[in-house]
Amino acid sequence: MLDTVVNFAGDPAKMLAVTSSIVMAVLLLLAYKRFEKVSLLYAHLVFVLAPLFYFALSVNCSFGFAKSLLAWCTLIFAKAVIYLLPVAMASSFVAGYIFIPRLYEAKGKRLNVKWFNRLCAKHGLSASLFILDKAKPTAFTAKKNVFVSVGMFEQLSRKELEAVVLHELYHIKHNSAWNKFSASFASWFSPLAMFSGKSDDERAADTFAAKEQKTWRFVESAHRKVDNDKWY
Amino acid sequence: MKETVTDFDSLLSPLEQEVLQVLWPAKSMRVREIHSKLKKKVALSSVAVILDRLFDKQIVTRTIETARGGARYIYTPVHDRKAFEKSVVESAVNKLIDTFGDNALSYFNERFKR
Repeated sequence: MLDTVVNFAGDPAKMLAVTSSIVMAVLLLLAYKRFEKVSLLYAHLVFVLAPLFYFALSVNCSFGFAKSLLAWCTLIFAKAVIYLLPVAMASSFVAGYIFIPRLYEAKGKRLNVKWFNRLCAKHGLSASLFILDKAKPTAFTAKKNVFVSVGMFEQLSRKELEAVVLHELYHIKHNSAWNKFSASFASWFSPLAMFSGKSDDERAADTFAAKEQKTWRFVESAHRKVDNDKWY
Repeated sequence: MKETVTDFDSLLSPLEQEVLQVLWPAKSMRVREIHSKLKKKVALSSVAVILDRLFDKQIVTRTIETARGGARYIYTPVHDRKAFEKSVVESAVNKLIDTFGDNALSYFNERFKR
């Protein structure tokens, strides 16, 4: 197996292809960080994995039995990754983008209120507000729906609630859920993707809410009320 | 029976007892209403946590009310004070009988003869 790797690494044409592919992956990752387009992240994944498949496909099985078994294993592994990638992505997509939001929609109760519709119209969004039967204050988005627990309504003032909803509308506007999913999915297959994490997404959503309300007062007081450990 | 908030010490926390003392006469109340009627000054979130625990223990029930662009729970005690006390005694006696069997029964007989 080591001979195979050395032979592969010793071939200038093959190494040029591998290096070009990795450079392309890095460039696409940098472009993703700059332009925040998820398609660039998936394109980077193709270029990160390409050298592995190229290596697997360039291995010939003309040497001894044990070595050819190793080559066979490498091929199987490469094929498994090729077949697994779309299957894993499709099943994650179905679960995260179709099944889980539908489940929450079924559990929640749609609330048609003027103040929420006004906020959506202002930002050009067609989102829906759902109430969750939960006393613990919590809010999140799934697809184009905002889910807010009864506990959140009970404990926050109208302005604080508006800050929470604006925070969630930012996530819908910037497709945060899909971005987060894509980044964690990519990091499973590419070590480079680990450096693309966008941990400041929550802060950006808070900043958006504060900017819209022209004050940090309600964002901060909502955090103070919600982020306590009494519920754990 | 003297109505103090320490009647159910072994079963309920002091705040749970105080919340029930407010809820029993009113029958149905919102979290904010209960919070405003408590003698002890506690955070609204503490009252919400306590009511959620009482709901989990099936001592209160709740329904969602949607009004004025929002939602809130209306809490209702499952039993009134008297029925609650009865159910507490019943479950305690049943537990003693289940654990000690005939010994518990003979003790009760002796106790009631006194």
